[in-house]
Amino acid sequence: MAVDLKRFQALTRVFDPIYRPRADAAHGSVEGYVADTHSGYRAQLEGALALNDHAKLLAAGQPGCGKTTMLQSVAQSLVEEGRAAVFVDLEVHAALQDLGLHELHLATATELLAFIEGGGATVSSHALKQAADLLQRLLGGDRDVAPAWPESTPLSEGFRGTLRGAHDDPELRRVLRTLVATDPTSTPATLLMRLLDELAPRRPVVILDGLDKLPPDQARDFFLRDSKPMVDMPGAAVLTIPLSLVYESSFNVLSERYNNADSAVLPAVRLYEFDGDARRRVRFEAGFDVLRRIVAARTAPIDANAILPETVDRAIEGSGGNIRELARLLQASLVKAYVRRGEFVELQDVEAAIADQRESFRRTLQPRFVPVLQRVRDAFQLENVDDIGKLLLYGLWVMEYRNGITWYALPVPVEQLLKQIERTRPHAD
Amino acid sequence: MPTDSARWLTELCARVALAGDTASLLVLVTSEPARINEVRKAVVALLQHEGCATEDLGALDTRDGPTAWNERARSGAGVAHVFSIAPSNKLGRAAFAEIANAQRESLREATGPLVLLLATETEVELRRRAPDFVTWIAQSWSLPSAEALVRMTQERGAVAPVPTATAAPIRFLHLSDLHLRTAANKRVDQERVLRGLVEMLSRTRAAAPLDLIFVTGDLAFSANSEEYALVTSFIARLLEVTGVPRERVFVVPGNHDVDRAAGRWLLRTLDSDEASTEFFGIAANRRWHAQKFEAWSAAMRAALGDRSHGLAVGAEAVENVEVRGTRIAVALFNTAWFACAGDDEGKLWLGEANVESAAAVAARAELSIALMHHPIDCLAEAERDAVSAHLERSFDVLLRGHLHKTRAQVVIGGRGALAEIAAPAAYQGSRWANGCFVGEVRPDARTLRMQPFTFGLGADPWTVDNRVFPSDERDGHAHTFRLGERAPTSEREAVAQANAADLFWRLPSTRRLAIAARLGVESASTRETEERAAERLVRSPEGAEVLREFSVRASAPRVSTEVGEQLVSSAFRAAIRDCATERFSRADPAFFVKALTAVGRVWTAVPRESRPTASLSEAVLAIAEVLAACIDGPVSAERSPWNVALDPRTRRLRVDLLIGDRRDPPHERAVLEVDSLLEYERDESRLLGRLDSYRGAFDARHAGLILLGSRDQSTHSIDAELTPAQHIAFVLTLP
Repeated sequence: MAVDLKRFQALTRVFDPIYRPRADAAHGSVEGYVADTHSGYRAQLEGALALNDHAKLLAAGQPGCGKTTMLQSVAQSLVEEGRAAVFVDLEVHAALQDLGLHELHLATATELLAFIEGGGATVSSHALKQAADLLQRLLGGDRDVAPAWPESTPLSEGFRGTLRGAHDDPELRRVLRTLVATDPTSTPATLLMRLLDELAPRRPVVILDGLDKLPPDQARDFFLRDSKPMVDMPGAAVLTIPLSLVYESSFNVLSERYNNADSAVLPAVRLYEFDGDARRRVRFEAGFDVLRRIVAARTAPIDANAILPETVDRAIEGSGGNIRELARLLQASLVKAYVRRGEFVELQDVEAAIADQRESFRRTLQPRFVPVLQRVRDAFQLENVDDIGKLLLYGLWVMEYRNGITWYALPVPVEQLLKQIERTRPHAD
Repeated sequence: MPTDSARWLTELCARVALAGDTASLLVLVTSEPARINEVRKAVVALLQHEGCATEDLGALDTRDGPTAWNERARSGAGVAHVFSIAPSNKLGRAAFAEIANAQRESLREATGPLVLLLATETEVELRRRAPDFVTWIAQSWSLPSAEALVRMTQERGAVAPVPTATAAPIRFLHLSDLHLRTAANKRVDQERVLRGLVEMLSRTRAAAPLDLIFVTGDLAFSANSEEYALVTSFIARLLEVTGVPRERVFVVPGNHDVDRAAGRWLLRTLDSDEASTEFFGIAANRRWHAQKFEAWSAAMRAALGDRSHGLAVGAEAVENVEVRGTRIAVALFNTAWFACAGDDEGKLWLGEANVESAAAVAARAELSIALMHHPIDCLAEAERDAVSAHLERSFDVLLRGHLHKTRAQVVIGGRGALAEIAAPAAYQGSRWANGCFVGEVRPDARTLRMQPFTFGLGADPWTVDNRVFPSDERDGHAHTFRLGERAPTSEREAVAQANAADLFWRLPSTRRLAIAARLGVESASTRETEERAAERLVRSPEGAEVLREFSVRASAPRVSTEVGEQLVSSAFRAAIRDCATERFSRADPAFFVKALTAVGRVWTAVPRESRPTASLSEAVLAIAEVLAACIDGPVSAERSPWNVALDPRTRRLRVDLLIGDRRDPPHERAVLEVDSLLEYERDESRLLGRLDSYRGAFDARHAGLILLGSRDQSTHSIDAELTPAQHIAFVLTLP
C-alpha cells in the first residue's frame, strides 16, 4: 500500500513538540485552541483581571502543560473585550540567561508601542516623544549628537532592533545598560510607566511569557531577592514563572506582591479525579474530552481519521495530561505507522511510542527516584517537594493535578518503568 | 520490519524525511563520550547511505546554544544537520543545559531537522537542568556501541564522510623581547626592524590572516612610561595591520617590564613552598610587588583593554577565547614577580598552586596555551619540577622568550606532549638575531606548525629563518609538532568536579562556613548557607580553587593529592627512571601484574636506606609514583578525594591506591592496599577481605596487596591469593 508522504508530513508537523499552534503571533490569535483546556484556572485568572485593573498575577506549570497557549488566548480575548492587552514573549526579545530589568521593561514597552502604532490604542504625543527620545539615546551610543529616528518608521521597530542587538551580543547588552543608566529620568521603566498610565482608561494588561525559562538560581534572584518585576507598574500583569520557584521555601513572600501567588500553578489537564475517601483515582471523562478536542483541532485540517480513536485515548493516558507530551507520543506513533507502511495510526504504534519514552526515562533514572516514584504511585502524594521532587515534577516523571486538593500521579511510561524495575529487583530497598 | 538494532536508523531516516524543511529536534545518545566523534561520523555515513540529505556539522562548542546551531545549519533547507556536543565535565554539562534551555526558542527557526548527538551524562544533565528543552525533543534514541556502528557502516558499505570543511588552521604570531627604547638611547635600527615586521605582516595578511597574537615579555627596556608609549603605539600598529581584535592579543611581562626602582626594597625571592602559597594565594601579599608593574599594567590596559595582562593568578590567569569553534585557553603566567636585576635565575617563583589552578581551568579547553617570559630553568629549584609537571600535564603549547635564542621542542609529559616554543628577540639590536614565529594549530588533527622568521639585510628584510628547522625544508622550514591528547586530563577534571561537593561535605563545619563566607554566600540557617555554598562550589569556575585552598590548609603536613613527588628520594626517582621504562596500556589484561612487577623491580633496585619506608603513607606515595610512570592512566593515592567511596552500608572506604577513574570500565581499574607483612601474617583474611569491599565500592576488577617488611632484602615476590569472596588478589611482598 502506498503511503502518502505529504499527508504524514503534515500530520507529524502539527504534532512536533516545537510546533506552535498559532497563526498570528503578533496578535495572539490562537489557532485550534480548545478554550476549556484549563477552564478552572483560566476562569480564576480572568476573574482576577476583571476585578482588579492592577492585578499582578503569576503563572507556573510543568513544561508543556499549555501555559503559553493559554496566555496567548487570554491576551486575545482581552483585546476582543477592548482592553489594551499585549503578549510579550521575552524569549524573543531578550537573552534569558542574562535577563535584566531594563530589557524586560524595554520589551514590554516595545510591545505596547507596537500595539499603539498598530492602531490598538492611542497615547499623547508627549508619551511618544518620550519614547522617541529614549530610542534616540539608545541608538546614539556614545556620540554627542544621535541621529533622529525617521518619523515614518514605527518606534517599536527601532526598539525591537535595539533589543535584538542586545539579545545576541553581551557587549551591546552592556552598552544598553550603561546608556540607560546615564539618565535616570528617561529609562525603559519610566517610559513603560508613562505608557501604562496613559493607557489606564483601556485597562492595560501585559502578559510576560518566558520568565518561566529563567534558570532556577536566576529566577530566585529575580523574584525572591531583588526586583519583583512589574509590581510597581500601573495596570495589570501576568508573569510566567518557573515551577521551581513555587517550591522555594520563601515563595510565600511573593503573595504580598502578586495577587495569586497561592494558586499560581497551572496543572496538567486532569485525566483522573482523586477520590479522597477511597484514596484512588477515577477516570475523568471531561479531561480526556478536552485532549481529544485538542488532537482533533490539529488533525482536522489534514485528515481527521488518521489516528484511530482508541489510539488517541491511549496516547492521552500515556501523556498523563501534558499537552506537549501528548503531541510527542502522537508524533512518534505517526512515525511508527509510517515506517511500517500503515495507513492509520494504530494501538501498536502508540504502545511502541510509549515504550520508547519509557526507555528514555530509564536512561536518566537515578536510584534515589525509585522510592519517591513508588510513593507517588501508591499514595498519590509527593511529600516535601525537595530537590528530587522538583526534578521529577519538572522532568514530567510525575504529573501534578489539582481538583480542590493537589495530588500527583505517574504518566504511563514512568509507571511501566517502575513496574519493570520492581520485577527485576523485587527486594530493592 | 527492521531489526531492533537498526530501528533507530530506520526511524531517524523516516523522521528526517517527514520533517522536510520544518524544525524538529532529534537526539541520539551514546554511552561512549570518548568516541563521540567516531560515533557521529558513523551516524552521518549511515544516514547518507540510506539516502537522507545529511550534513555533518562536527563537534560543536559546549557554550553554543540553539542560536549557534542554527547559524551553523544555515547551509540548506530540508537537510538533516548532525552535530555532537560533549562537555567534558559537570560544569560544562550544566552550562550547556542552561544555554540549551534558555535559547530553546531559536529551535523554531531551524530549516530542517537538527540531530544532536550527546553522551548519556549530558542527557541526564539536560533532564535535570533543561526540562523545557527536553520536552521539545521530538525523539531520542539510545545508540548501539561505537564498535557496532562502525561495523554497521562497513557491512552496509557506507563510507565515512569527509570531515567537515577542512577548516583554516588557527594562526598566531609569537613575538617576544621587543625591548623598545626611547629616542635618547635607542638603537638606530629598532625602528627599521619593527617597521619591516609590520610590513611583512601586512603583506601576508590576505594569504595567511592571523587569529591571535602572543607577546611573551620584555616589551619595554627600562619599563618607563616613555617606552610604554612606544609599546602601545607598536601594538596599535600591529592590531591595525593584522586586523586581530585586541581581545585576541595576549601579553605577559618580562624582566625588562619591571620597574626596578619600585622593586629595590622588596623580597627578591621566596624561601619555601609555604611562603609561595602565602604569596600567590593572598592578593594582599602581592600588593607591593604589583607596584613594580604599574607602568606595565597602565600601558597594557590602554593598548589591549581592561584585563589582567599577566598579573592575575590561579584560575583568573586564564583567558578563554574561541576561534572558529575551537575553545582556546590562554594562561598568562608572570615569571617576573621577583625579577629585578640580571641575577634572577633560580630566584623566580610562579607558585605551584597558582600554576595548578590555572592548569586545571586551562585543561578544559580544546587547546591550552601557556605564556611566560622566562624558561622554567629560571624558576626556583623548589618549584621547578612541580611547575613543569603541571605545564606538561595540562597545556598543549608553552610559549616563552627571554633567552633571545630560538628553541622549539616537544616535551613528552604524563599526558602527552607539550610543545615548548621559545621565540627569539623581535628586537634586541643587531648583535642578536631578531626573529619571531608564526604558528598554525589544527585542532582536529592536533598539530602545531611553527614557522620561524628572521630579520636580515636587504630590501625584504624579514624572511623565513632556515636555521631553526634545517631539515624541514620541504615545508618551508616550518616544523609540525604533534600535540598531546586531551581526554585524560579532562576526565580527571571531570572526576575532580564530581568530587567537589563530596569533598566539601567532608570538611569540618567551621571550614565549610569559611568557604561560604569566602564565596559570599549567606543565609538564615547554617545548613542552608552550607548547601548554597556547596552548590556554588560545584557550579562556579572559582569553586575548585577555593576548595583546594581550604582543603590544603586543612591537611598538614602537605601531601600531594596525586603523587608523592615531594617525598620521594632522588635515588628512588632514579630507580623509577631506570627500571620502569615501559608503559603498560590498561587495555592489556595483564597490565596490573606487570605494573606490580615494575614496582617490585624499582623497589629492590633502590638501596635499603633510600627506600621510602619511614611510614606506610610515604610508601604509598612512592609506589604511586612508580605506577604513574608505568601505567597509561590516572593513579591516585591516599589523600586524594577520588580514593574515597561509600560502600553499600554507607561506610566510608578509603583505599590506598586507585588506578583508573570513575569513568573507566572495571577491567581498567584496580585497587591496591599497602600494609606490613607482619600485619598480613597476623590476620591474612582481614586484609584480603578488605580488598573485597574495595573492589566492590570502586568497581574495580583488579585488586592487590603490597606488603612491606620481607626478611629477604634482595628480591620481591608476587603471589596470587583468593579473597574471602573468591576473587583473585595479587600480593606483592617487598623487602
